[in-house]
Amino acid sequence: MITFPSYFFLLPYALVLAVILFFYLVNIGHLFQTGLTTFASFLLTAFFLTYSVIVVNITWNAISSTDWQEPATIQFSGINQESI
Amino acid sequence: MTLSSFINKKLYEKIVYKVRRHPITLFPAIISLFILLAIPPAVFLLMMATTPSFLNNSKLVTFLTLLASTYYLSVGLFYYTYFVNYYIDLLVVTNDRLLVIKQQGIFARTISELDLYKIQDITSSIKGFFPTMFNYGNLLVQTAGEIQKFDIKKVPEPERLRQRILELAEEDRKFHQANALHPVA
Repeated sequence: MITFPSYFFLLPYALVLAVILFFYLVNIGHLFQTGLTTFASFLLTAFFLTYSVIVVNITWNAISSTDWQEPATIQFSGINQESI
Repeated sequence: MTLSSFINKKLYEKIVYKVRRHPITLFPAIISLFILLAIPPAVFLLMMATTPSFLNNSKLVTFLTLLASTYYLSVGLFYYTYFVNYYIDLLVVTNDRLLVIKQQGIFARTISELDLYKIQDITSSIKGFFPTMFNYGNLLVQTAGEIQKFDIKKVPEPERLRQRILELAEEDRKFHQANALHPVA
């Protein structure tokens, strides 16, 4: 049985957000580098960034009522001694 | 940076065409996007039908919410990258050169370039129901250069493009021949 504070769930999520932001910036960098910063590419970028912001916002609202100090427990079913 | 500076456009050079894959080729990707976006609600409904008591476990619900959020963000990033790759994949035809820019993933790009006067032959082909209906297909450019074949896929109006590139190649050949006879000092 492993017990840890619930806010541990936020750490990999924060890492995911950072990685996704990085790759968005790399893609935007490609558009600038190739000189393809047109209205169409701007619309495309704005659409997907807005989509991502909406997802994060909905997630934030969904988990805002969570008590992050409360411990979470993962239980493992052990080997039954009698079965050996 | 502009596209002209990216391709090192010469002073006398003019960009005649900028051609991308036909937009209809994005249709399967758009369909798959909607399917992928529908998966988490479908899984949620399945879990509600089979084990509705999972909603009582607030920690599990929080974990699943973060998991679904990660999934949606990843799908969004994947398709943004796909559409950026589509947008950057470009056939640039100038009065001097033909350039094929291919973005392959996030960290790979190839740019192939050939002088128009080296073009020996161009073959256009339209095969299949959708290519015929929407008039898009492939161009195969044979050259006398290092890269002997350029294969350009799924471009709109390939027959008209083939004709136009051949005309530009002929003009460029005459220009080079004239320069060879009367070189500029």
